[in-house]
Amino acid sequence: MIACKGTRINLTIPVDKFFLGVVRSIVIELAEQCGFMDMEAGKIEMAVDEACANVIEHSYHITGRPQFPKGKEKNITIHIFYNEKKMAVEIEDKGERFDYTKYEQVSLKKHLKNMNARGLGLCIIHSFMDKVEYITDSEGCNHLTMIKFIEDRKQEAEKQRSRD
Amino acid sequence: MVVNMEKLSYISSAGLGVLMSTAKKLRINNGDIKLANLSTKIYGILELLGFTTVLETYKSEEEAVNSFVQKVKA
Repeated sequence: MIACKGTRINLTIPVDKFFLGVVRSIVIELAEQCGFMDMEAGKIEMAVDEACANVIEHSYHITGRPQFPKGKEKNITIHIFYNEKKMAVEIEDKGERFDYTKYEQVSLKKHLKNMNARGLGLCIIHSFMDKVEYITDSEGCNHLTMIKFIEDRKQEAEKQRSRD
Repeated sequence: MVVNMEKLSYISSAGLGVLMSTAKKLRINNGDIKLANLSTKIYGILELLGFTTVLETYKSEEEAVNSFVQKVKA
């Protein structure tokens, strides 16, 4: 779990894409409160949405609305931490582990050149967030941690303003 | 094909994938896909990801349709 001083919010949703809209609304609201500007907040929203969608689709192999037997429902937990310097989001699941060694990072440019969307979600996560880490703990729980720093954004915005 | 995105508030990689594969199929048959009425947010995301370099966008559905008419005339 991320060690980060600041506000911490935990959100648990069923493994169902139907709930991604709720997650996006919360994430964008918190990102804006945290101080990220429109497009930067939108990047965090999209990265978290893509990460959760990947868990549902590739970790739990679910397409469409899931139907779990009673008492065997599966969940995704989203831990959100933020302070004046950064926003960190950790997606936790107990589905199948993603083998990062088999993941070949393809640039956005190459995706567009080949008009190929396969792997675009992960590409978006890496492009939009400053730091991305994936681990599977000793209990078989997968943790994808994504961090975006706000300091750099403020500095960029100030630089932009001075250029204008 | 013209896609009016007026009511679209969010697009995921899956949605972008559909646009890309549709464009690919249409272009094989000398057709194309044009996007109209994009919100500032959706346009911003498409621009950030570089999609505006491979997919044409228009301010209105009419403009998008007319772009096909102009192509046929040319």
